[in-house]
Amino acid sequence: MNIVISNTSNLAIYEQIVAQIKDAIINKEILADEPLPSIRSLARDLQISVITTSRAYDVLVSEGLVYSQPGKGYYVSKAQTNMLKEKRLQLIEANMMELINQCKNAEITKDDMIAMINLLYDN
Amino acid sequence: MLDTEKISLEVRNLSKKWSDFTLDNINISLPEGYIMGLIGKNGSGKTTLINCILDGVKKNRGRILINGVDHRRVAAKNDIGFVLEEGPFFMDKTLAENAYLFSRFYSNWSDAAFSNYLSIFELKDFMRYANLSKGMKAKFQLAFALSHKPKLLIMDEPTGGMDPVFRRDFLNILQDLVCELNTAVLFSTHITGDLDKVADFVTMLDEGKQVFTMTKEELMDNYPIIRGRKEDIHLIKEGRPMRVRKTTNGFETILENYNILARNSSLSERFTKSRPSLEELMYFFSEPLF
Repeated sequence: MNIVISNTSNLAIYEQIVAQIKDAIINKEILADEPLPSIRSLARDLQISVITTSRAYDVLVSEGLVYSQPGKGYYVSKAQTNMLKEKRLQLIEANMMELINQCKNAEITKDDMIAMINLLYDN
Repeated sequence: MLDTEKISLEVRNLSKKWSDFTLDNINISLPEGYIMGLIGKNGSGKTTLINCILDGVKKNRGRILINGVDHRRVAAKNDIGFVLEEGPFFMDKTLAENAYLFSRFYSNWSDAAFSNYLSIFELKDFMRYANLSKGMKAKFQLAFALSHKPKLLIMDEPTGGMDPVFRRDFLNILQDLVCELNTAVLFSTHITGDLDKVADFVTMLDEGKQVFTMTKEELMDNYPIIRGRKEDIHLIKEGRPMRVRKTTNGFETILENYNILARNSSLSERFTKSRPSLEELMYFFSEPLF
């Protein structure tokens, strides 16, 4: 797992960490029951504060993606990976709906759309 | 916050009166393993506060506890490492002689650690303290302080004389220390960019008063910089703007009560908000000079 923080991003630093750990979980870079880096070592690696890092982990815990074992550290939850995929699917569906509406407004037919997707998808 | 936390530095109702300056009722609580930055203009009281904690000047009122022990006790002093403008070291002696003389006050002193830090910091033990540059003095003091494994590290403007390359390493060293030894760190600086990166808590002083002590997260969340057009300035009065910087066709400020704006979406649409840097916060939180 590789976390990269950008100072110019619109997202707060803790939100960037949350998003990137989510990606790593979805992409199976870290598997269920595998440990996340400790709060302090991640803070040190990213040169950010401990509280910022623990806030990111708190968010992940509250969303059920990560669980903490007191005294030991943070681990990826089992069941929640599918949930995360489901959520992502919902987001993609919503984006697609938006796209379809845009196409309808621009009088682009379904066939034209599919043709466009075929062309662009493999690029 | 992390598991169970021991308070490493506790300052309660601290006051110190000089003839022309008063440090007024300061309260700080710093858990072990965290970094607190101390910011404020020149003469805001940062150095006085640090000297009071180190018992270099006698406080008039209040209590200061180091890991629960009164800061004037030997046991407390044994746990504190410090880096000051000059430090207590003898000007005409070499670094090795100084280390030998002062290390005897510390029960956890390690000669091996000291020579290791000297070589990391590119200092030689035969150098004379008086001949060191400002940055090198800070490095030597840091090497000395780290060699007795302090539980609390207190530094007054340590990065002022350091080059940007070493400053980056310096921050790494601090984070290693926090990570491995669970040391608490309090340091004052004008180079707030250092704190933007690593500080957990920030305390700001202004004219001897404690303006705030907050986690950096709280500061970033609750005090965004608000920018808007000149004619809209009256709309934010309710949010209590602190200090307003006017430009030719607009203004920027920080609100004491940003929630009022955040809760009203039609109102907040008229303004842009951006995450503040500590430098900007310091500007907007301090009393204007003119």
